[in-house]
Amino acid sequence: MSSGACSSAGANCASPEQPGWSPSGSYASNNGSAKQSPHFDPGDWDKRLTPLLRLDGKVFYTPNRMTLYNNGNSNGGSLAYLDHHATLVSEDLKVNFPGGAAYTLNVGLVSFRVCF
Amino acid sequence: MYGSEEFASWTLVDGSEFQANLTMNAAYVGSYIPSKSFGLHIGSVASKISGSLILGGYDASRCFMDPIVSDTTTFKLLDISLNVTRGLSAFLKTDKSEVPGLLKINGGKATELEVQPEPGVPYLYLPKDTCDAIAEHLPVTYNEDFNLYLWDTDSPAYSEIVSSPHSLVFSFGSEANISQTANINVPFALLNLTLDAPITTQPTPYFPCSPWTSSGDVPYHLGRAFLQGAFLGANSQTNKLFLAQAPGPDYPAKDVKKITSTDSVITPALNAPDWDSTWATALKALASSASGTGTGGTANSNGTAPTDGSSSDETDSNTVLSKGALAGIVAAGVLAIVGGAFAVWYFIFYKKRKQQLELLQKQQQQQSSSPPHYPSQAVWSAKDPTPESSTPELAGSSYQQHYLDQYQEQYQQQAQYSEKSSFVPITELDCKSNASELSSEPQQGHAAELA
Repeated sequence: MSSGACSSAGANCASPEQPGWSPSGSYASNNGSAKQSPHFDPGDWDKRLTPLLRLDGKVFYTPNRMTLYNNGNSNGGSLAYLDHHATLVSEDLKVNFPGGAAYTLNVGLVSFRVCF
Repeated sequence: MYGSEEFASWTLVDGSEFQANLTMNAAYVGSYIPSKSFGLHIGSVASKISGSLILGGYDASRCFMDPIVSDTTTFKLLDISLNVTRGLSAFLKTDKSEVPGLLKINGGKATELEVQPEPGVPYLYLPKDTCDAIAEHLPVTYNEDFNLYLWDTDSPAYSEIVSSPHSLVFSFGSEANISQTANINVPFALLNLTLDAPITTQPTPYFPCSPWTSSGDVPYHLGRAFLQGAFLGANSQTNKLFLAQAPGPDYPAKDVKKITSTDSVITPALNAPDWDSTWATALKALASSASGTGTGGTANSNGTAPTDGSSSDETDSNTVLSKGALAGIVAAGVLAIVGGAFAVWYFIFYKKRKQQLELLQKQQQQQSSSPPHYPSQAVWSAKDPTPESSTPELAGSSYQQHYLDQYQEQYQQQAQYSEKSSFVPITELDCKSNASELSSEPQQGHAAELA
């Protein structure tokens, strides 16, 4: 989720707010906004999850860098980078209920899925 | 998490195509993992089951049976049952500890449903008839605003069901042999979830069955509520999806295994304990039901549900004790407890007190002018400052609690008596020593709980 997800007008986030994603370093300057996709509807990203969660809002793709650490220990030195890593980012993705209640997604990766 | 896809691509604002890597494929191509595979157990914060996600392998300690294997993204769900593995049942509208035949659709029993395990969604997305059939035996009410069932927390059955070994059992069919079934148990302790702000103004416990109508694009789903109690794995290079029973809070030590790019099967935990035993610390069997609705039958200790498709209205004479037999067992139990308590009282306290009285009489005869010394109840409190906190350690055993109550009562009587006489009291050492003996078994249980 974008770091700005909960600051947008109409956001309805759970407390306490979680730190969100924002580009940094060379990925901000060389691969960030210039390489982002246009915003699109969540239904164009996933036709299964969108109706189950009654999602609305906008998402976009951006390249990112994933850092691998030895034994998962960030103090133990990095092992490798997975560069140009596709990341789906949301700034205002909402989960809706039939009665009108809703909340803004502000944490987590909902792109966890299995595709054969 | 992606499967066999290698890239994601999109159109930039200047109209050109951009191609980006996907995690699983990039890690495999970089030789950081042996296959494009994973093993996942969501776990539960509330039940102190840590989550487990392994890329390129799985933690076998979270896989408690030979997994059910699917060549697609769905599994064949054959039935849903209620089950009590230990103690009495608090389920509503039944006197049995097993209630099969709850997989229903369009007003009748469903023989098979395609369901997709999905960590990206929260609930159990099943037919309304199925959710209603389960809810009929629970203190819950359907709420159309949330399309969920809210627990009636004022019902005695609520706390009984979510704190004792009451489970929802999912029976899956094998693609290789449809007559074979495998059951995955999800305790209701994991299905007692809470809606909170900003969705509701007050914490609102709910049962996560969310009525859903299947369509071509969106089949029925088993989301994170289910995956708290189930293991999910996949090897996208052999097109295999693995589903298995996951353990409770007392799961074994981590045992990470690789999944190779050609693996079509994975092996479960070696020498895994019985699944129910991994919940034994967290979920205590009901000795009696305050709800007054669940008279219970014999608990189904192997954690499996019947697969004969018998409806919940039919009687299972093999698993339900007659009222006469139940009354006999209860009467024998009460007699045994009373008899045991009397024997303990006689041999430990009465005899000891008698000996002390005899000793006292001798001492009084020898030292009639010596001032008395005795502890008060306050000394007990000072030396054992948390009698209240020690009570939960003993709560697991009514016999032990009875024993302690009797001991404390006698100790108090003894202290009162000693204030009026020159009675020689039980010493503090005796007191602590006996208390330790009394509570040794529950203390061990408590230590295991903390560990």
